[in-house]
Amino acid sequence: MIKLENIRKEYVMGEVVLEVLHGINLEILKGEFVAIMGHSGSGKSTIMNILGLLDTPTSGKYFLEGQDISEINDVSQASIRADKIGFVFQSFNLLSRTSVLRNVSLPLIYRSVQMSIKEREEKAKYALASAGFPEDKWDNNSNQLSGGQIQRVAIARALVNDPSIILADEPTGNLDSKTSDIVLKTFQDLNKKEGRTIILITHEHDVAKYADRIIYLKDGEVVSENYKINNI
Amino acid sequence: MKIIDLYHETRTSLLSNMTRTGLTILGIVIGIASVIVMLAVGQGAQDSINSTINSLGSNVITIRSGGGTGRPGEVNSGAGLPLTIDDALAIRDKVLIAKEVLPIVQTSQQIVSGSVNSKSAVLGITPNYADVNNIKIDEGTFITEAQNRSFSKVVVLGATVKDNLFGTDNAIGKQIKIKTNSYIVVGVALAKGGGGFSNPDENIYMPLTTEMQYLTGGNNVGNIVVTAAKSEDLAQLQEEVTTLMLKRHKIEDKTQADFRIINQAELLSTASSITSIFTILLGSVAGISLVVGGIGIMNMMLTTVRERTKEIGLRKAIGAQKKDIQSQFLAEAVVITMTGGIIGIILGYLLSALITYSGLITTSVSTFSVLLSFTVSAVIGIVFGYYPAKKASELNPIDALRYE
Repeated sequence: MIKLENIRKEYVMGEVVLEVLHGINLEILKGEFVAIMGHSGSGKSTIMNILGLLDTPTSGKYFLEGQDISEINDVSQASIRADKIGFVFQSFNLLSRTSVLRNVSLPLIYRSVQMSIKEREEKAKYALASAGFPEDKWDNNSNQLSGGQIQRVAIARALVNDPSIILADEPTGNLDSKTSDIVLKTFQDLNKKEGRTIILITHEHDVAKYADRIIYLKDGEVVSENYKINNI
Repeated sequence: MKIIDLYHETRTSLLSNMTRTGLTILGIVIGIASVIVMLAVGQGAQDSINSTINSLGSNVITIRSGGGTGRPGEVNSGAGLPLTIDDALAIRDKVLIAKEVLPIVQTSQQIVSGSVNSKSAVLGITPNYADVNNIKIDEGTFITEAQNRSFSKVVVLGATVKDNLFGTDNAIGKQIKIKTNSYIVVGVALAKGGGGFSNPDENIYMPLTTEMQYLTGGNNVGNIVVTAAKSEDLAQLQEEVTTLMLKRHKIEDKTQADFRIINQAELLSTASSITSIFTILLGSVAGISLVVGGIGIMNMMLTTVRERTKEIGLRKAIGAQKKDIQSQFLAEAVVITMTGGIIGIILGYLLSALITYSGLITTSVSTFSVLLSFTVSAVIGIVFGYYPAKKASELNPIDALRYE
């Protein structure tokens, strides 16, 4: 499903060239729940941005469902983001002063497949239900919700376009432990019950343990991969 | 993205951020309204100066007795011949280019009407005086040729004189007394307002012959006003009148003339240089207002789009194409500048009307100022609303998302 071949990423800061990723090789299968772990500066966020087509690698190849992403243009990249990828950000990134339903249906207006406003709302409601968001708050504005509720809206937004992969960058970073637990269980359900591929970035073991496989990253390299970690 | 989606996105985005939208629109409204009002006030002032100048007459020369070439302030006590009614008749008959010839006698007299007593300038004039000096009659009639021929003891009162003597009562048919004689009021002039050096509303008019018979005696007139058909003829008119007058007064040397000729064109050229200074002043005011307004709009737009770089990043992250972002921000900038522009124009008109209504100055909104301010503001608003958004839409989504 996802295959990274020798992915490198450099940042040029004035005269200093900083290589963040030193040739990452990685394969993620359909239906997997993978956690990418590492300390800050390990390059885990950079990987996630490359996987989500938010950023481009300096060199290396990225295959998504057999398609070489590094070869395609800007417009096709946007289409892939619209059709195949769902994002959950640490800082949520909802549109403020905008209703929950509108926030969730936002990705649908950018899809290549056109649908009516009614269809979009149906899809958004379905996604909100999947993310376990309470129905009586669908018309609330995003700034009238609690942290946990906001992240559920963000998850619903990531689900609404029925993506092949869901990418979550520190999704519980701004949440308390009880809410974190609920959010992570939601991811687990989406993986187990709906068979969605989920890639989660975190620096906490407590978060990573919900995944089936943990990939450890250190200084821009994969140092180990553990399968089926059970509750420690 | 479909047009209907673009409409919905633009609408939601503008309506759900009313403060931001409102402030941006306000910036544009103030920018446009201030330019319109400034120019309306300036234009009004210029119009008022122009109309004052025009009321002086632009194709008129005045002949006065006394030497010199008519430089203002020059006093002449030459013992030459006075101007007479015969001079006026000669000009009328011999100077073909002269359109109207107005011999005028002016004295200052004590006017008595019942118990009211006032001092006024009494002008002995011919009937064509009304046309040349643009005097309109409110009640009754102006002095007629028949009255002039028959030495009638009739007067026409200026508006202020009428108010002083009769208040709101009807004055027509009443008598006033000047020196030992009584005169019948046959007309009241419409108020004209003071223009230049004397206020015509404070004058009393009577037939030239009557004033010469009863108040001044003799054949002399104070001055003779001669008009030309067009202002271009003025120089030739002056030339011909001078030649004729020199001949009539038997003077060989022009510099020894016992009369002087005042040419309104000279006054007018001074006035027009004042007007052109005014035009420059107006232009600068408009220019500065436009620049200030423009910078305000630019600021609002730039800050707004900067603030929304993160939103642009998010929209890109969830699949928006560059053109989707660009069309949305373009649509928003257009809606904001158009709304602000229309409100600004309406406000500009209202404020100008209010200034006129307050009586400070009669403002005049020019179409040019509306078009200019609207175009400049719209262009600045759209460029600075669209261009930074276009730049942001070309960033990597992650760079836009991380923008602080």
